[in-house]
Amino acid sequence: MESALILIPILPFLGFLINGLLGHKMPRRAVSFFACAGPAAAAILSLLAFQQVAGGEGKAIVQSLGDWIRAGSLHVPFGLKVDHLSGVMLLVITGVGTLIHVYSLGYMRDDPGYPRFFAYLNLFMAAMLVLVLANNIVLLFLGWEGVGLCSYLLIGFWYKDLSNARAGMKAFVVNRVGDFGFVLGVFLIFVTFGTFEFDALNAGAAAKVTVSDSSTLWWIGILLFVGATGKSAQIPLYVWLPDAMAGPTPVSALIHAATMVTSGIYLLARLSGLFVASGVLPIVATIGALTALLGALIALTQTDIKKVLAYSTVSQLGYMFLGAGVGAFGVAVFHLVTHAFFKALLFLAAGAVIHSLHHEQDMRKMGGLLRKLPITATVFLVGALALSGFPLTAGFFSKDEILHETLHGGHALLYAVGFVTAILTAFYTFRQFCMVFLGEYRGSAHEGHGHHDTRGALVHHADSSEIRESPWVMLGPLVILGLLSLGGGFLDVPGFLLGAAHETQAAGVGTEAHGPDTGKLTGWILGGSAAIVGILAAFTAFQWSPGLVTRLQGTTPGKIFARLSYNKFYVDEAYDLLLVRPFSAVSLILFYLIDRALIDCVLVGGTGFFVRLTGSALRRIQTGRIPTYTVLLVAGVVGLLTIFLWAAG
Amino acid sequence: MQNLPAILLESSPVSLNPVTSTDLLAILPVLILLGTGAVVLVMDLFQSVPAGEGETRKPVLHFLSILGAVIAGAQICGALAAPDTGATSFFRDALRIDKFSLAMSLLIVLGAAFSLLGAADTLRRRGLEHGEFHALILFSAASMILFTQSASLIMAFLSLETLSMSVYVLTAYTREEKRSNEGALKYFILGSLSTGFLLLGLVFIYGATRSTNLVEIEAALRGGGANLDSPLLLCGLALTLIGLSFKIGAFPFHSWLPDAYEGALSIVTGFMAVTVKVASFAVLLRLALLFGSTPSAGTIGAELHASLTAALSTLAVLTMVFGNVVALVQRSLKRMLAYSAIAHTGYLLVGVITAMEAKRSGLAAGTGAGQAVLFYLFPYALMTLGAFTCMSYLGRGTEDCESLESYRGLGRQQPVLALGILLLMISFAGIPPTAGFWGKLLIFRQAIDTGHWGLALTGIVTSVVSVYYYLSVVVNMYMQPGGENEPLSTEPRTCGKLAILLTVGAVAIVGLLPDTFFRLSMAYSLR
Repeated sequence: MESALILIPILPFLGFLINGLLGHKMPRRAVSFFACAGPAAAAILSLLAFQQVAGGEGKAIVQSLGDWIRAGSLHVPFGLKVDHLSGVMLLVITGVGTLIHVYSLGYMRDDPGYPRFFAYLNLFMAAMLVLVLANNIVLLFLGWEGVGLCSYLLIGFWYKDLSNARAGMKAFVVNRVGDFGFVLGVFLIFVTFGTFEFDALNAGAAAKVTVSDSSTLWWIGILLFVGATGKSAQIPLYVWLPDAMAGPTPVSALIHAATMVTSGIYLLARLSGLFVASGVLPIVATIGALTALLGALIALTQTDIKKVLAYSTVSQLGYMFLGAGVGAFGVAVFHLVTHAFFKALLFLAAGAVIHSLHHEQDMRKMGGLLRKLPITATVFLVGALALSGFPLTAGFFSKDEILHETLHGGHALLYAVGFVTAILTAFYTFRQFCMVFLGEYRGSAHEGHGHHDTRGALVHHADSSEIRESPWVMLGPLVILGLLSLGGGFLDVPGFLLGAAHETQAAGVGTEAHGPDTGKLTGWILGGSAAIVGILAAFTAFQWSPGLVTRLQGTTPGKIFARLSYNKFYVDEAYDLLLVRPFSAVSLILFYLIDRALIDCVLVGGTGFFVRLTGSALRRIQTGRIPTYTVLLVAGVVGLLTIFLWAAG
Repeated sequence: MQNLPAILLESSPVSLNPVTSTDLLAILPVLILLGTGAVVLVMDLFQSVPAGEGETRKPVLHFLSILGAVIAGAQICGALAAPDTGATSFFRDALRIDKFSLAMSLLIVLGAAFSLLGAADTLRRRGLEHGEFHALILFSAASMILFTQSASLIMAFLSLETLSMSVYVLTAYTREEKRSNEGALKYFILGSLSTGFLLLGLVFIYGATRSTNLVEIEAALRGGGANLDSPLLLCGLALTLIGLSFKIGAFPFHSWLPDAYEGALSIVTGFMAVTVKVASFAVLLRLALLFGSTPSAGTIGAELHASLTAALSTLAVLTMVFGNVVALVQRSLKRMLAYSAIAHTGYLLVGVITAMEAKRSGLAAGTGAGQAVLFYLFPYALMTLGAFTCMSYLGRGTEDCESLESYRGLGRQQPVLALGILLLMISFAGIPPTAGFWGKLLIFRQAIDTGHWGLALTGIVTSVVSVYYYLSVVVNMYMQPGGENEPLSTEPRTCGKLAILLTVGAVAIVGLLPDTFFRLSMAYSLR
């Protein structure tokens, strides 16, 4: 297995090469085969690697592929490593990834960019796998940037629509801000530690903290965390993720819910020793809790089926950061895993709805789809229950453990925020369920008024009689994810991860026995009731007494809140006003004043003009007449003799 | 009697030393070149020329002369590869052969061989296939080799005159063309004038040091100023420098160069630009190091050093600026490259100054001096030969492809050739990672190391200017509309193609493996 680790990212990469270079010449069937073969094979290899690692505590497989960069004291090995943490990540990425690839075969069936889509998706898999397999932070950064690139490419997949291209650009630019911090952090790591390897860093940080370098460590921690907030859509850099929903829905499921956006959590868990030593964890926890609350508040009033899920993702990622911030890295990764299951499920189910309704995403034009799409509705319900944290579903266990650890760590305020967010989560999730699947179908009212969908094609709203279940190639993955969302909570991910030796340094969490103690039982009851309260409230408001919401929005605070939430608290507008516009203005000024006027006109143009002028003047020496030449020569002789004798003194 | 030069002693029966076989063996490459030249000249008498046709076919002529050059080159290579035994004197100290002069000789033979190869098609096309051409090239190459190896002032003067005569005639080779005659005449008249200065300078040096032998002159310098006439020596050196500056085309002694370069056949221009420059720089470097870096007992050494540095720096700056700036406004590629040849003389002068400085300050104690000049000259020779061969290769009828406009659309018509020209031009301009870049890097780096910031800065700034005119060729080839030129005629151009391929390939290799060639130039530097 040691020598086969590199195959895990290579296989999807081969799929990328084949579909990217030859895809447009091959039949669809072949494209489909190569698209899914790479991820599936990687999944099998990952399973084998995982089995080998899972055997004992702290066991790891390492493949060293020599040096990547060697320049002076800078030494970056090309090393891959599978331990418990990256093993879990591998399974999630390849497992969920393969399911989403299969689903996409159906979802993207009629798209003209079919091979291109799968090429990007395979490239994403390869980059994501490099990210988790890397044994040093520079190689991780290669994957980190690779997934960012693929995210950009896939958000703007339907690039002919300007707003999609803009969304891709926004994601890319916002991520650059985070990456800037990340890269600075890496530089600082090199200056401080002289190595990039995770194990050495975790150990080195623990040793350093006792010495004197605590402020350097703090800066490393905060810079890397800035990188993580960019990639994992936390305050203040979360704004790109909702816009990223412009991409095809499988992309939203894979990249913007299950895998890429969680790489910030992975980074924190990977460098848990360093983060604990750096002392930035309280900031991480606060940011996480606030993001969780903010995402949930915005999700309450969104009407786009994918936007609700996007803000929900932001919110759930906030939970994970909260978990990591209180030192419970294993629990954070646990929530990452269960979230990957149920959020991928929700997105894919939403995709199935969108697919059935011919690319309609507005929930106000849905409703009553339970009867039309019973399987989709069922799996969506499962996902919604898991997201709400309904007892015994996957989300229930992982979220409650985060809340439990928060309280256990003495962060009562953060716990309260998390608890309120849990109620809100259940509420907006079932608001969505009610709007989409219950009640009456509201789409046919607009029938005949064709509009342009995200791909720029004219679509007609589906007549209620035309709505059909998606094909089984799409429903199959949904069912599997549904089962995982139901049963995923019984996986003992934190316990498994805490088995790894270096994880135990994480704030003494490892000393605690894993299992329902009295504190945990209380937590379960509280968490379960929060979910149930939220669900019941949603049913009350949107199913049993529909007038309630209208009446609430009639009151002044209700109206204000609804507007704030619907408009995402005007954060995008504020960023635009405070950052984007001044920046553009400065850029424009610099462009016209410095670049156009000074550099182009005065320096470049002026130099050229001056040199040409001199040239034209000097060429007059070249008269072509021998007397002139002779005079010049003799003058030169006199001049040189003078210089010679003068210089000799 | 002691004060007389060695060559005058020859009349005395007491010291008459017969020429030994060792002497003849040492100049074997020269003898081969001379012999081949003579054979070719005689053989041409017996070649029949088909009457009434503009075209001639004398493949044997080309083959034989190229073969001669190649054998001479192989001979020099063999001598270069042999273990280094230091400088050895021959012909009673008239010649001194060391690795440096051998390396320079190799460059000269290389230039001759490529010129002969590139000329084959053109001469045939233009009906100029006469034995004189080959003989003149070979003779001038032979005298250039002697020039680089000469260890006495008289030998140097004689060989310089021989090579100049050959080159004057070569310039006028297309004797039915007005500008060819005009260029040659200017070259000859101004050349005679400068020869006068040179000869006067050599006489002054002899007068001051009482010797024509470089080894004895060095000993006299070391001995100090007691018996040295310092003003006379300074004047002599200045006049000698003027004579050599004329040959290398340094401003303001360059005025013949653009006209002569433009008038001559493109191939001949390439030959001149390479070989005359290589030979002259070999001697200039040797003299500069001898006079400018020899530690002397009195103040004369410091005076000479200061004077040489000041004079050469002035020349270098003026030459770099003038060459590059005037090249910018040329419309003809040939004239542009003529001015660019002047500009490169400026860069090489910087190399000479830094070599002098390095040797004087002991930086070059173990490694020898002038490796930057040597390293620079090799790709410069290849690039120049390649570029002028291209001009000749693309010629139609009796015209070479000279104007910049005539390169329009070449990128579409002849993509491979255009790519080759592109490489040559960016290498001339010194854009990394080409051979020209490494050469410039080395020279400017040494200039900075030896404290000549001003020279390095001038060189760098003027190099930037040069990018403009070198790339204008590229712009014409790729980015200009046009290219409605009729395709090249069907005459065979295999030899030209081969010459271009070899030179461009070599430029590419030097660019990719600079380290190898740098090590070679270190090994063959002047000690």
